[in-house]
Amino acid sequence: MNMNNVIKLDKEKCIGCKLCYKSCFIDVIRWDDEEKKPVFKYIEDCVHCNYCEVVCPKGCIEVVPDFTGERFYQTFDKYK
Amino acid sequence: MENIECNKQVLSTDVLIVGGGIAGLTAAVTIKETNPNTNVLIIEKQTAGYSGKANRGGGVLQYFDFNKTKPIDFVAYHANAVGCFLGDQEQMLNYVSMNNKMIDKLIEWGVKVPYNEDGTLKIIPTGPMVGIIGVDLDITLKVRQTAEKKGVKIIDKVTISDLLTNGGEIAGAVGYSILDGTFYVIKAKSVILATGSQNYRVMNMWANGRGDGIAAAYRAGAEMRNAEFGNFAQLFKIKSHHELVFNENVLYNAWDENITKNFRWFIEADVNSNALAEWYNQTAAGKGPIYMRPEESPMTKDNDIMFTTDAIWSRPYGLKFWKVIHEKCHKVDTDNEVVPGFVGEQSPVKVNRDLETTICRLFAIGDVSYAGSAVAGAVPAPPGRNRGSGILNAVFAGMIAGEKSAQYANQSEGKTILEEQVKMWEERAFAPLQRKAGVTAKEVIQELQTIIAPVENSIYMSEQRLKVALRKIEKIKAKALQLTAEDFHYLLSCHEAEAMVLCAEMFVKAALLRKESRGWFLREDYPNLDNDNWLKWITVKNVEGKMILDTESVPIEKYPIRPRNA
Repeated sequence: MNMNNVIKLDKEKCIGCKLCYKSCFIDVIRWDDEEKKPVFKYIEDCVHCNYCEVVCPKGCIEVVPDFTGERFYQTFDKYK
Repeated sequence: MENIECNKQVLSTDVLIVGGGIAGLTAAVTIKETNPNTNVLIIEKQTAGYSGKANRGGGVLQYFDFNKTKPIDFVAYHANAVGCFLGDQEQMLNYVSMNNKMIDKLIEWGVKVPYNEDGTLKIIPTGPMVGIIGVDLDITLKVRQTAEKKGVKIIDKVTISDLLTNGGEIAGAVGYSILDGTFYVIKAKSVILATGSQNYRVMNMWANGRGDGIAAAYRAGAEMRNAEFGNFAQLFKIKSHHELVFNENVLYNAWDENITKNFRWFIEADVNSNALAEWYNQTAAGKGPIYMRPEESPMTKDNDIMFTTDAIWSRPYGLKFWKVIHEKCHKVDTDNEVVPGFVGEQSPVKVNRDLETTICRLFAIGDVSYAGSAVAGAVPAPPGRNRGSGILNAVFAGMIAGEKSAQYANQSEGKTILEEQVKMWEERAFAPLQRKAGVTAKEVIQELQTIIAPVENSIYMSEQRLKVALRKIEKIKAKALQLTAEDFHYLLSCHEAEAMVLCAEMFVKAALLRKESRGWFLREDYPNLDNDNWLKWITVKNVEGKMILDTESVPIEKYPIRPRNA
């Protein structure tokens, strides 16, 4: 929940198949019915599972994970 | 958000299934195969077929070769080494005995598994009695397609917020659309909860198990069991947060000492909570950091070929997914330092061998009731121990509950829905939208994560640390009464945050009560197994708003395998 993941979309290549929207298991992606394109509306909830990128038949999505923002909350983190 | 005017939908079905992961979909298909005329409705808060864990954390199925292993032999191993006599051995025997049948069913439903050239299943041994076979990650999509072909109705993007009961029996459920807030009132003769476990949103791939089904069952009065066996964790690479299966045998401290060799006697895929405690002890003693050496494990020396290539199994759908993840992780992994990553998997809804809860005709299957079913004993939900058992446990539970609920649908007219109950749950559901000020779900969840995720609070515990945790949870609980949401997405987050507070409270209270160490459950202050006092299950129940804990004896005298001194 502290991550700043980025999802890049190449709108020109997107064919509006909706697979990225369907494959998102935590409601990060909403669907713009007029434009027929995904909207990454709740990006702060993204857990970089990469499913949207993988299922896209046109390869127009790229998930850029923010590994540093993801926390383990282990107490000994502070000794590292 | 003020003055919400939402549409209302009133629906009726024979069987309502909450959750469209592999457990819910299996139950749906089984009902249609048992009794094609039964109406089945799946309500899924995201998209059925893409939800759950089978299509992300899955990829393998546990396999038993009954020419080599008798079911009772595995039950004996499991009772001694994994479940530590806290499991329902009869149900474990049923699970193992059904193994080959379940795999055949999945194949019949279109699920892809790899074969050898001679047409036999391609099996990799993972322990003395067990093997795993690969399964492609489109498993849930395939079963969704089968379910739809058989006439199962599916509504996506609707979350079930509460259950409707009448005289101690299930009557239906209520929920709302996370897209437009439409409020759903669903009358059903039977309800099957297949909503997954509680994972507190900590680890990325498991982040959708948020315990809302557990909380709804608890509020409705269903009993819980084994809440203290709730929290799974494993060692992850510190930079990429990526785990490597099979590497617990090759963990080293800063002094180059292998830290697990005293309790990891052979190479196995299964995870052991002692390895996590050892990470804590070594680090606390100044012997950290801890590194793994994948090059020393025969299973991973070739760069984790099981998941990054099709050299062992052909799984084309999953391979794309694993490759992308591995590539991104490898870019940031400059070394092999490991740290415990909290996964969760609390699954305490108590069910009997028909997977029915203590509320009549309310079933709970898959990872919502794994610990509550007591099938496996002193372990959290799969993959706690026994890799590949997660999907098949869900399939097992789905098949049993599916058959049973189809029978009920034929026998019963269902209970009347009580309007005042619907009104009460509707007000509760939308309350965070009405509050002008308060606390956000994110604040509540993050505070909880800092309490529940450290290994010394949820894996390797002590009375002192648990009491501090409980005090903090109680403060958060008070705060959570003021949750606010600005839209329906955040409204769902509020309900999930409430479920997390509840699950954390029942975990800590049950963990405080169990004054021993058993299986996965480790107490620093009570390091020994205590069969004289603790061959017992801890139960948790909501009695008029109060959380009441109790114990019930494990009927060990009725089981085939007993501890030596019992």
